[in-house]
Amino acid sequence: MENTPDSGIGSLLDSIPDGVCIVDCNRKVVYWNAILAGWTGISPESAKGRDISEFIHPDQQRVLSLILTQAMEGGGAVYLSPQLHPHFIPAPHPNGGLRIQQTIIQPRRGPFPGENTLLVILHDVTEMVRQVEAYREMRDRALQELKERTRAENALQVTNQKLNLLSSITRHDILNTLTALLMYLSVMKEEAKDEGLREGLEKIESLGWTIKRQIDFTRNYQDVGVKSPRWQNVQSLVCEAREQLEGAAFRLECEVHDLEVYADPLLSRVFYNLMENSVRHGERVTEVRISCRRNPGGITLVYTDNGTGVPDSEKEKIFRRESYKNTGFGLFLSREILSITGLEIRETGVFGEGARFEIRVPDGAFRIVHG
Amino acid sequence: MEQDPVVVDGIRELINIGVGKAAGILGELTGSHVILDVPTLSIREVGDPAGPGSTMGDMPLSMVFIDFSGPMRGRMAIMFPPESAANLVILLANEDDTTAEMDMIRSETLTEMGNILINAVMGTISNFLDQSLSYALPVYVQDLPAFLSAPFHERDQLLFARTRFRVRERSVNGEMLIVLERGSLQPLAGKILAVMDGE
Repeated sequence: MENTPDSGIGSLLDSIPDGVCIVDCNRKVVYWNAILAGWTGISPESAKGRDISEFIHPDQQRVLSLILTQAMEGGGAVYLSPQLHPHFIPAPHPNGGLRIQQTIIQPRRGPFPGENTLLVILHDVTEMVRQVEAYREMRDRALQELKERTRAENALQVTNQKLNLLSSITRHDILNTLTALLMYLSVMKEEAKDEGLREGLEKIESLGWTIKRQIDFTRNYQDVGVKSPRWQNVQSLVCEAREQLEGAAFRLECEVHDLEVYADPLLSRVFYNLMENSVRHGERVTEVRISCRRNPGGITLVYTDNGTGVPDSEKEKIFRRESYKNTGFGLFLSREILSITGLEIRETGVFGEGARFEIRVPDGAFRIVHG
Repeated sequence: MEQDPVVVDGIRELINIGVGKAAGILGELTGSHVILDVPTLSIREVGDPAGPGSTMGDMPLSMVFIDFSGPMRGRMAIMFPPESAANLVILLANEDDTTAEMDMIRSETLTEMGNILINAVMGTISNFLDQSLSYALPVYVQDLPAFLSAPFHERDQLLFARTRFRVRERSVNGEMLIVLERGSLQPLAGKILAVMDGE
């Protein structure tokens, strides 16, 4: 057979990891390599001389006609994708099913008309296709989960809005009633002649103010974690907080230029609260300093003042809810706000030398943005 | 460089014939009714800032190209924004999936489609010239600068056609590009002018 590759090229084609066959212009197989023999179980001797259509997948017969016409008439190479032509020459895969193939059919012009041949190369892409399909399944599952989660989050958001509205109305009503109650108590206290009665009324009044603080606390806590965290410039937040305390006479030194942290949008209230605490409880605060230092696994924002500081016995108590006494957010809520994105706050100062709060920011929750 | 309008019309007609053939083959292969239009054609030079892909923004393009040689030497490509490319494959392959992501399976399918289209257009041109061309295998890339780099030079010419695929009532826009090495357009232009002059 003139179109059969010589033994050198034949042995070369036998050594490549693709199925290869050569078809003459009469559609007869003139070469069938060892890999194709192994895949199909059809020996080269048995394949040679037979019409190629005998080996082609039934679904591909029509395609074959188109290809043969195009290729034999001097067209370019034909490229058959695994999606549209997965099994051009069906061959079982050891793990079940048929091998998925990428097929290239390259026309080779002979020296004379009628001596053109087609070189058919079948590349096994079964593993690659299965990996892509597995990836697609995984992606689809993730997208489905995301869709369901988004739906649940939307529903939760609506429910949360309703609950907030309800609690806002209820809070407003309770505060109205409480204001009237405190007013009556005040009048009654003025008019009370009996000392025992006056003391009783003062206790009731004190309880009334406690209720008011508790109601205020629920109003502040309601906003924590409602909006998505975002990147925020620490220097700007600190400056904004300082401006809100315009009556306070302390000097602010902030050394955190270009630092951004990923945190709840209420982060500015944390700095405001720390400064307000310094003013309210520090007694002699004239200077507040905010700096930053790098640690393994993150950074630490350090807030210090030159006031009286926090006694050792109070260092953890100040973060408890019971310590919430005044308007504002309190350290309990500050810790809650920070914890939303994994930030941690603690007091590490020496009593008598001033307060020192350390806010630990883990890697991934801070970045330096120049310019 | 201004080209004779007769030559531009002639090339557009050849490309139209080629894409007509390609649409037929694609329809046969996929069982979908495929319509391919070539609404515009312009001829520019490599390095022209208003060149290929300039209307598609800065995103990487999904493209298939084939190099050819013989009486004409150069490279032909079809190119799409990746999302359009994925949508076209979804339509052609009747995929249920609607995620517009170009993965390996889809890029292979687009390569086959590009191969058919490019073979049909270049086959029509070489038949018209009555000379055969040799073709390399199709290549899928997502990098326009790499596509336009070597072996091309300034003054090599670009035949730049805007294409519209319509499959099952939905249309996807793409661009078709033939880069010809300097001097390769002359035989084609000469043949078109000769035919129009009735020689």
